[in-house]
Amino acid sequence: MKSNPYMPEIAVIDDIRQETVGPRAIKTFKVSFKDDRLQKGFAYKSGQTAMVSLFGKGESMFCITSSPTKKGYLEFSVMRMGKVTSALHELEEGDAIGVRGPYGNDFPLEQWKGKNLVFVGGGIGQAPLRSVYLNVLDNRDDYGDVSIIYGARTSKDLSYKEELFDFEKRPDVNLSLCLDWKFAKEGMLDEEAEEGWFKIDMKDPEKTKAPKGTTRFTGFVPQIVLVSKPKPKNTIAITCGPPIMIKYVVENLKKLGFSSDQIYTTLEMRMKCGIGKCGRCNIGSTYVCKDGPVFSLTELEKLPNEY
Amino acid sequence: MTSSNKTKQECYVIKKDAVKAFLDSLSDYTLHAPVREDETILFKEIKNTDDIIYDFSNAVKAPKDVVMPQTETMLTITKGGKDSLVVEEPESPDKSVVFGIRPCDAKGIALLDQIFYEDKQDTYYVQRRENTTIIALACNDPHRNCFCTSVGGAPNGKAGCDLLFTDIGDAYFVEVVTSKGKKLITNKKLFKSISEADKKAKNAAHKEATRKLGDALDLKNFPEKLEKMFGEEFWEKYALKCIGCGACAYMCPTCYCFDINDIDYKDVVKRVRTWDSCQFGNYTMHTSGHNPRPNKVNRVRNRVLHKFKYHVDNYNEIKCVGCGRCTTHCPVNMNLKAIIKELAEKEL
Amino acid sequence: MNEIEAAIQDKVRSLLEAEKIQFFIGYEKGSDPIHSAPCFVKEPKDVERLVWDPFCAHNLVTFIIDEKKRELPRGEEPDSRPIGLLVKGCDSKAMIQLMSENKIAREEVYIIGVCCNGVIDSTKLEKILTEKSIDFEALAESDIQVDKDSVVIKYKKEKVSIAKKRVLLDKCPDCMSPNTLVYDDLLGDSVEPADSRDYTSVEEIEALSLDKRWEFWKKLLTRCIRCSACRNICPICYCKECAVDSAHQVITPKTTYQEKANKGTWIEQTVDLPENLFFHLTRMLHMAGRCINCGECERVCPMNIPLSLLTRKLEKEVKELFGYEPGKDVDAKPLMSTFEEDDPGDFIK
Repeated sequence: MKSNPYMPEIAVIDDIRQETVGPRAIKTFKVSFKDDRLQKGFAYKSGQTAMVSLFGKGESMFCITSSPTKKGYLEFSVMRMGKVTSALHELEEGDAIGVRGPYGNDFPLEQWKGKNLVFVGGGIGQAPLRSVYLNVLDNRDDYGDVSIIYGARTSKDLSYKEELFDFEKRPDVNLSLCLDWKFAKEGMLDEEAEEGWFKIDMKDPEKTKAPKGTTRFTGFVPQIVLVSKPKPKNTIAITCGPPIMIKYVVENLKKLGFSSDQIYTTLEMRMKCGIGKCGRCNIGSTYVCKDGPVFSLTELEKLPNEY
Repeated sequence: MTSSNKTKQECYVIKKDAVKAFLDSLSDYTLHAPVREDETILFKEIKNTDDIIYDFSNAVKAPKDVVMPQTETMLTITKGGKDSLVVEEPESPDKSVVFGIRPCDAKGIALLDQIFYEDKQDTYYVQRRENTTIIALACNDPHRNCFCTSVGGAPNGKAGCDLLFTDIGDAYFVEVVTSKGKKLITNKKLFKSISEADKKAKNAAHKEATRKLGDALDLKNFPEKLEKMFGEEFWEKYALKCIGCGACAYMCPTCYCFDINDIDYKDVVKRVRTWDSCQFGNYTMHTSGHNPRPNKVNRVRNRVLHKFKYHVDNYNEIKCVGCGRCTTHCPVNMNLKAIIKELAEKEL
Repeated sequence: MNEIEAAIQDKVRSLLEAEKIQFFIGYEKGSDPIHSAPCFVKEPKDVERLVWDPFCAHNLVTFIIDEKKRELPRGEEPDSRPIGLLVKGCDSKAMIQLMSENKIAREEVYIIGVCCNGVIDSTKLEKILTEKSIDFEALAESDIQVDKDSVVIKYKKEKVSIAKKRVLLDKCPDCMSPNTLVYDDLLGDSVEPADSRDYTSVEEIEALSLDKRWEFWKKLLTRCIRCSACRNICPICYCKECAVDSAHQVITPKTTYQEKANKGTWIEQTVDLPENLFFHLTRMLHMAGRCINCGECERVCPMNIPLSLLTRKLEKEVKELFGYEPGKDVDAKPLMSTFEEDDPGDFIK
């Protein structure tokens, strides 16, 4: 059959990194195609996705979390959620999976050259952002200031820990890591915070007075946006995470003066084909698998609220 | 959409008693045609051309499965060792002829072409489609739920057809629509040249069928209007009684949504594609439990908007052929034409 | 407008005006003169849509189950008022069965019962009309009534009378519960129930040899397209999560990844004889001692599969083996969850 778009190519897992543990554990799988020519020919861009096959379980669409600047492999960060992801978590190095793609659009990095970039991620939502900031950092001179805000529930739930801790030492990355401020009973904020994680002023985040160079905070991602106060001029904000986080991040970015066309996100949907045919990932006449997953807020605001 | 080009209008007549000989001569092809099973009219693969019926309104479900089977194996995966997997594709489909498809259903296939040929071609569909020749039978006596003329079709519409037959009494008037259709006209003893009277009879039949369909709805600006009708209050009235089954979608000539699942037979895995429907609650549900279309109202609205707005946005054509099956077979008698009419006439 | 229709409208108007019910589910005119359709009425001004005619086939009890499955939007308080429902005699058995299974509480539904002479099978009628060359336009201004023995169609200046058995739904001629069994109001004159159930159709299948029987079902079940209309219209098929679905219907934040990962695929989505057979047998086994033979599954089947042959067989077996009749007694213990020492065991081979 000539160029069957549903045909997965066999890839082998070269490395598995346990990012987080627990019921919603995250693992990052580093894979490469068995056929070296395919690996070389698999040209993708930051923001694009690929369909991963676990034969016998099915296929799931994941964003590619590695940067296209790094050749020879792909990385997927997978949270254990359902049938395919649970089975993926059972795999070992050397096991074979199927991969087809890349699919969808990408973040317009070309357009963003010369601009400041703010990445705001939460939980597994960091996975698609990672491809972008790793890409940007490999072309560091093309961009202005780079800020990364990333939050998780506890320090155990932080993915890409070592990589991010390395960024703390980089002068050209403005990093703010954030752990959720736990709620005690009656919805009051608990006084407990993990050691070494600076508690922000939750009542008035903008007034937080953290020592210069603080990179570890206790609070919530949307509030960290107000603490970090990125300047909207010539800046693009890219956010991904739980819907409720995105909602307040957007609200706070707008408070800081960001307009809808300066805010980008990437969406997920239930998908089967990945090429705009099976029907289920539509938001109005837009198919997330091929027209997305990357959208500016301006674009999203024009779509029906069915995502 | 198919590789066949339109040819100059070429017409023949074939006597009704010669049709069997014609169909029997197509032995190189798998033949699909309407048969009566109990009281139910179905398109089936024909072993004996005597089984074919000619006097029918339309089959209970559209014969879209000739190009898009309800169940098809996409891949067969044989598991070897740890990293050894052999992934095989099915063999190419046979050449087939669909005889007796109504113009609405043939147009349905033309609309499916828009999706499956576009961008990354769906090889499974495309192979079947390329191997299928469509002989349509013009509609002389439309069903009371039909409204093809409201959605840009006609009882003698040629979209999707390779040959179009029209019943003119003791013979069929045959219009050659594509070169693919022309290939079937080999035996000039069966296909004779037309007379002026034949042509008149054909035109009269078409005219009468169109008359029977009554006034067409005016849907000229309807897609744009629907843009402003996304609010749930427009849809709740229709959606409340929906039971969320797939009867409408499975009967429909233009519904094409599908599911892909793996079946694990231990050493061998089959990846199969099956029809799906946007009316099913779990169709859009994420593994997290989040559902972008959680309620009936979202799903009924999506089905109607997909046909009358979203597809128009993407392909500039309404994705409904007005066959009326969804109304005829809806367990709760949801009347699509009436919904469209009401919305189109509604003052905003 | 007939008397019953007027009485329904009056009653529903007063219930809605007094805000005694959340909304009312009845029937309205359908897509053509030989169909009526379910109708949800929320405002008193809309009660005029409500009709009562011999095409009011749907078992509306299904919608109560459907409504109970609906998840309330965040922040919306549940409405404690009952839902108003029009219930025929046969349908009231579903109501009783669901009450006996603790699925619906009596006070959750305000029932307007209606005594019923039988409901017309639109497919049968269409065929008869075609035979008699009566076109649908002529029926636009017609009066169609079911009396004791026949269906009488008056249109223009014509009058056609058709024997009941030829044109009513198969469930009607031997209906033993034409009068609603549980209700708040009952409309219409009491109708004499049939003396006994007629199992001829089932017995004809039973008389076939095993091979012939297999051929018979093989043909029918190959035709099934698994649209789920039979399951979804069924008032007794109320499970939120169904064995025949390969993907979850309900996932909450509490659903663990193990539950999701291990969701059994009892029946594949592939549509072929083995899976179709398994679909229908699974459904039927779950129906044993519960199905009240409202015949909705058969009526809605777009592929015309005579499912009530199976449901009648169930009814017959359950009656013969256990003397049990589903949908008869609110206090009856569900058949399949009770055990008596003298229960017959001959069928266990």
